[in-house]
Amino acid sequence: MVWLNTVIQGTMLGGLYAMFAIGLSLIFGVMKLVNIAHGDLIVLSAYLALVITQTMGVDPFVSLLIVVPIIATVGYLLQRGLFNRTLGDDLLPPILVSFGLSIIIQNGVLVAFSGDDRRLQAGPLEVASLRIGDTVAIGLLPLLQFVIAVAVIVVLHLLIRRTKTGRGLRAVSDDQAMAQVMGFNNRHMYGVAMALSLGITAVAGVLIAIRGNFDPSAGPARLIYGFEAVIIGGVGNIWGTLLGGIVLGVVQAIGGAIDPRFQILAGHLVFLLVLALRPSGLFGVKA
Amino acid sequence: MGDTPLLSLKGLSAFYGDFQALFDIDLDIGGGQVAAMVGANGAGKSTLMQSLVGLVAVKAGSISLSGEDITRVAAHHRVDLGIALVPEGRRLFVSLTVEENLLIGARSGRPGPWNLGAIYGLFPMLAERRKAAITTLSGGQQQMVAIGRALMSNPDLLLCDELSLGLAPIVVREIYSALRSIVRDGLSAIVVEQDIQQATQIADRLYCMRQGRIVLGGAPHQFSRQDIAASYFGV
Amino acid sequence: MKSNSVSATRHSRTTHLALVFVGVCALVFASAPLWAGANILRLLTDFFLYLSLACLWNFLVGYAGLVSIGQQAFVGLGAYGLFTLSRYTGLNPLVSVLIASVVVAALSIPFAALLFRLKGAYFAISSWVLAEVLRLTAQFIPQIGGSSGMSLPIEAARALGAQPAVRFTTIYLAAFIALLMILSGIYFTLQSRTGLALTAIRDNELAARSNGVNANRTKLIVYVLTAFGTAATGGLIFLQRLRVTPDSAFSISDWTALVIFMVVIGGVGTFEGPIIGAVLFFLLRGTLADFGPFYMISLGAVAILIMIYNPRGLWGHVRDRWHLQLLPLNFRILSKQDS
Repeated sequence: MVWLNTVIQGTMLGGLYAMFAIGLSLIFGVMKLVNIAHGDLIVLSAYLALVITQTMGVDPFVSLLIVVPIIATVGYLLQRGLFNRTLGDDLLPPILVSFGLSIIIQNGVLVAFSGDDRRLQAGPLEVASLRIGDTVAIGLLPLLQFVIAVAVIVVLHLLIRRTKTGRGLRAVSDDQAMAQVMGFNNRHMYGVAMALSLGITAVAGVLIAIRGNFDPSAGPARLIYGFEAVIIGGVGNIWGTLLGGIVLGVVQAIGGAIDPRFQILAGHLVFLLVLALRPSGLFGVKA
Repeated sequence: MGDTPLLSLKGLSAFYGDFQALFDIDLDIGGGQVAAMVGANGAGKSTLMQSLVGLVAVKAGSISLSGEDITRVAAHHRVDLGIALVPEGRRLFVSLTVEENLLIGARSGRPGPWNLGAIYGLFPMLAERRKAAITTLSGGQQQMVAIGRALMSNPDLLLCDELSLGLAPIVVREIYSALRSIVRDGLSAIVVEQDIQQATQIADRLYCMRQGRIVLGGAPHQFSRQDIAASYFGV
Repeated sequence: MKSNSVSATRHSRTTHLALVFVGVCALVFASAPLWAGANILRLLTDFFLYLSLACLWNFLVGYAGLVSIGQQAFVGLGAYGLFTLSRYTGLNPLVSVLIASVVVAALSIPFAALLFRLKGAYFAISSWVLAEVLRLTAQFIPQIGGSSGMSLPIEAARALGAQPAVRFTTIYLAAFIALLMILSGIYFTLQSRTGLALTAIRDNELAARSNGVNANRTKLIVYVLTAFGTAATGGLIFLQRLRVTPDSAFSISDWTALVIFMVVIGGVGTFEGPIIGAVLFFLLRGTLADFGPFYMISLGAVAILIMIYNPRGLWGHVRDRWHLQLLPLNFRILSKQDS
């Protein structure tokens, strides 16, 4: 029964990883961009939430109403002002520019907030839990976070499948040149994709900061978790990515239950295992 | 037809990478006119189409639409001005359904006779398959979607690049008979083909390209098969 | 123009001058233990080691297109290889560095088998994950000191010289020789068939493949050679430090981020670029390093600006502007009138 609890906890955590991952795979799908600074922008949104909760005295969940639009706008502007200039046949500029951005954000946050561990406070919700039977207990906070994660992913799915903007994003992703001929300004569409990507990850960034500590150097790990979830789930498959995040979360939880030092390593090892045995991902469609 | 032609190219030159694909092209297309553009593979026909929609940058010369210079207008604004392309190889959006592909075409919101109903009237087969994935369609059906997608923007000028490519002769005839009914109501078009037969049947003007230049132009009946063959192959 | 009136050469007056300059530099550096004090020797040792890392990263990224942000994996493995061999075999540290590098090069083959499954930026991130796996694994193994790491046994340090001054000189010379070997190794690889294949792949991978260039094999060769050189450099870096921990050995900021900035600023994909970048970096380091995070922020910003406005870096800019090349790497076509 201890194990059941561990698996449940891992699943809840995996929901957040899936949100990191979906942000990554959205921009990869639309403009073949991999943003190395993804994790640092996740951490930046946590710091933004920290400032808002402290100055305005609001709950972290309420702070999302401000954090998400701000980070989404930052994403749009970054794409238009920076990443759009790097797109082309050469794969080096986007990687190195986003790597440079990652270093800038990490050090910028370090200057502004020092290297201390921080955490967002959610009050009594943090300790509340739902008991099922005698042995299984689900923390209300992780449960709420998981529900939010799944809801965000469902909304994104509907947005991409059912709306005009989503149709445009899919068209741009399929054939950039023809999308242009059809009247899409690709540079704007890329900006929209980045805004969506970072909006989603800002939600995850704030949620995960209620649950565990963060510091200026926490970004790379978050980028890697998102990336691992994408590969484990199979590139380009939104539900596969959700499952990939859950697999990663569960593996980390089990690893951590065996030995706390083993938590992160267990996740990495499963990622490498998937890469070795099933490079198209556990739930991916073979290309 | 007014004094200013619908489309007017003056001294157009364009490069494909380091390779000059178009040399000093002059061309006028009047309102309601259908021009057939023939030539061998690599003659520059597709590059010409791509430069008209803004995908290939023009190095020298100008493109005017209804007297307005659009040489430097960005590709994504050209559909708003009334140019639509049915590209070589169809290039449909594969993650979109048939109907979604058509709706993408309507993005510019230009008024006119073409809407979903009109397209389905023209190609009833597509109405039955409106929710189908593009990859499940036959080549001919895909070509119909590509034509429909272009028409949905209610263009003034329709560019058709190699409609018959990879299609069975019977399907080609079907597509061309649809095209004939499309241009009957006064839509201007440039129809690029390697197959001289098909293109000349619906055209008021025939142009032949070779090595990036227009080497022959006029009313189709002016030229004998030998004339055309000579300029086509340059012999 | 008749065919006999055209010739192709790698040499020009500039390349001859540059070779003379390189020769003079080599003499000056080789004789440094005779004229330089301990501080200058240490600074130069650092410089050589960083320059080695920069040239190797550039070889991997700029020539083979394998954008790795996980080269700290090989620095760390080289370092741990040295410390482990020193603790358990008592071999001379320099011999240990060499053995460790060979082992790491062999290890890099299965790494490549795994990482080459991903392309572009996905390759980049997974190379980083691999380095993280090695760092976390090192924390787990008590025989190599777990997360607190280990020190070089005193006997091993003594084997390099009884007094610190002698030791510094030995390490200095080892770093200098390693750099020369790495530079000439890269130079000769670029002039070999592999170098031609790399150029072909860089220009057009598809065309190269269809002309019989085995792109994966060529990239593997570069990956393994780079792993070898990076491990050797890593061994020497930590030989100088006498102490290794998982966090210091597998540090992305020390062994990859700074190196990336040097190469990007100097010029990715040019032979001279990393050298220019490393020289600039060391000239500025003394004055700017105290600014800590601001230093990193400005390096990041400069790297971004260069990538956007001039992706071939300072040297690429100079070269394109004045058609200059210092080292005889590319052929220039000459007609009789010119020569």
